[in-house]
Amino acid sequence: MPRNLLLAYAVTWIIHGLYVVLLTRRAARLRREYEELKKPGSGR
Amino acid sequence: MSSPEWKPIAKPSYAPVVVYPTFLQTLLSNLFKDLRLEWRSKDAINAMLFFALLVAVIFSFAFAPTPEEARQMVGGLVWVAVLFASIVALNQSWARELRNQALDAYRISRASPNALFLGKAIGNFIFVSALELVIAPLFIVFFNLRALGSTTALILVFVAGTWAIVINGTFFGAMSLRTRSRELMLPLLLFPISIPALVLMVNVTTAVLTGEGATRRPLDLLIVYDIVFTTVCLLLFETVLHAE
Amino acid sequence: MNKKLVFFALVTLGLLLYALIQSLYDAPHEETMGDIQRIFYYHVPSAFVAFAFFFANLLASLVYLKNRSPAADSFALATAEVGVVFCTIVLITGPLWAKPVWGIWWTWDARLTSTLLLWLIYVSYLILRRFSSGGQTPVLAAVLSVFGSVDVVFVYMSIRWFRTQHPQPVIGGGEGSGLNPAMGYALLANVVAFFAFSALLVWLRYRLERSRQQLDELHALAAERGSINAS
Repeated sequence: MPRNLLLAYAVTWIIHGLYVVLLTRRAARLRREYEELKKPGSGR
Repeated sequence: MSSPEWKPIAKPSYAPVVVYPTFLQTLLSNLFKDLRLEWRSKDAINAMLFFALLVAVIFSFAFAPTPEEARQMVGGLVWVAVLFASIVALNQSWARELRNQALDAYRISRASPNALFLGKAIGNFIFVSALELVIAPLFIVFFNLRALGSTTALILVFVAGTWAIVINGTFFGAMSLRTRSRELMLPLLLFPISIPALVLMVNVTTAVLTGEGATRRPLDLLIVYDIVFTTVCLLLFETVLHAE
Repeated sequence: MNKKLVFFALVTLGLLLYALIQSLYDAPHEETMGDIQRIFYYHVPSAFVAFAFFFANLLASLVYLKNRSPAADSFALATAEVGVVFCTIVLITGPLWAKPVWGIWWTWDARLTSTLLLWLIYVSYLILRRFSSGGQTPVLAAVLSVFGSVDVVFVYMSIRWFRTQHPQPVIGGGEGSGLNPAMGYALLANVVAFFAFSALLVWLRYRLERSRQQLDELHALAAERGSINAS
C-alpha cells in the first residue's frame, strides 16, 4: 500500500478521533458544571 | 341642559415644530463629522501613509525586483499596501463612536442606521482614496512605472477596488466592536471576504501597468462584487447595530 | 433519545467499515495512478460533506436571522464545526494524493482555491464566535455566514476567470472527467458512510450546544437567586 494512502486514511481518522475526544471532554465538563449547580449552594 | 360646547383651542405659538432630518442630511452630517474629526487630528491618515510606504520599501528589499519584474509585481504590491493601511483607518473609524456612548445614543435615536453606515463608509473611502493619491506618485517614482494600458481602466479599478475594501471593512469594523481583540478581528474577517475582489483588482492594475491582459471582464466582475456586497451590507447593518 | 443515538452510531460504524473495505479491497485497481488513487474515496466524500454543511450553516443562519431561535443557532454552530473538520481533511488528503501523482502539492486553480477559502471562512466564523462577548454572538455569526456564502460564489468566479488568463496545471483530472462504474459504487458507499458519520457528529455537537445554552440559563437563574438571597 502506498505510503501516502496510509497516511491519508490515518490522518482522516486521527482528526475525527481528536474531534470526538474534544466533544466528550466538553460534555464531561458541562455535566460537572451541572452537578455543581444542582447542589443547593452556588448562588453567591 | 346641554353640556357646554368644547371648542378646539388654537395651538400656542410657542409650541416647537419638530422637523426630523432626512436620510441624506443624516448621512452628510455623519460624513462631515468624520471628515472634520480626522482633519483635526490627522491621526489615521499619517499612520496609513507611513504604513503603506513601509510596505513598499520592505517588499522592494525582500524581492529586489528588476524593472520588468517590478512592472509585474507592483499591481499586487500597491493593493497589499492599501489593504493593510486601510485597516488602520477602519479600526479607528468605529472606535471613535464608542467614546461618550455616541453609538448607543445613535441606536436609540430615530436616525436611520444606514445613514450612519454610509456616512462612515464614504468617509473611509475618502481617506483611503487620499492615501492612494499620495502613494501613487511614490510608487511611480520607486518602480519607474508608466501606464501602458488604458487610463480609464486604472481609474475605474481604483474607485471600484477601494470601494470594495472600504464597504466590507466598514461593516466588519462595526461587527468587531464588541469582540475581544477588536483590532485583530477586523482584518481576520475582512481578508477572506476580500480575496475575490483582490484577485480582480490586482489583475486589472497589472494589466494596465504592463499593457497586456484584459481589463473589461475583471472590471465588470469587480463592479458586480461592489454592488452585491454594498446591498448585503445595507440589508444587514441594522441587525448588527442593534445586536445586543 | 440515547438509544436512538447508540443505534445510529452502530449503524454508522457498520457503514464506515463496509465503505473502508470497499475502498481498499473491492474497488478496482487504477491503471495509471495505482493504489494511491484510493485516497479519492476519502477525499471526495469529505469535500461533499464540507460543502453541504457550509450550505446547511447558511440556511440555519438565515433561519436564525428570521426568528432568533436558539435551536437554529446551535445547528449553525454544529454544522460549522463539523464542516471545518471535514474541510481540513480535504485540504490534507488532497496534497497527499496530488504530490505522487501529479508532482505538485498544490495549485491555485478555482476548485482548490475555493476549498481553501471555504476553510478560511469557516475558521473566521468559529473565531468570531469564540471572541465575541455575550448575547450578540449568534447574530454576528449569522451575519458573517451570509457574507461568507456570497463570497464563496465570487471566489469561484474570480479564480476561474483568473485561470483563463494564467493557466495552471490541473490536478484531479479536470472538471467532468469520466468515472469507472465500479469505482462509482465504492465512492457511493463512502459518501453514504461519511454523511451518516457527519450527521452523527452534528447531532452530538447540537445536543452539546443546547445543553450549554440551558446550563447558561441555569447559571443566570442561580446568580439571580443568589443575589436575592444575599440582599
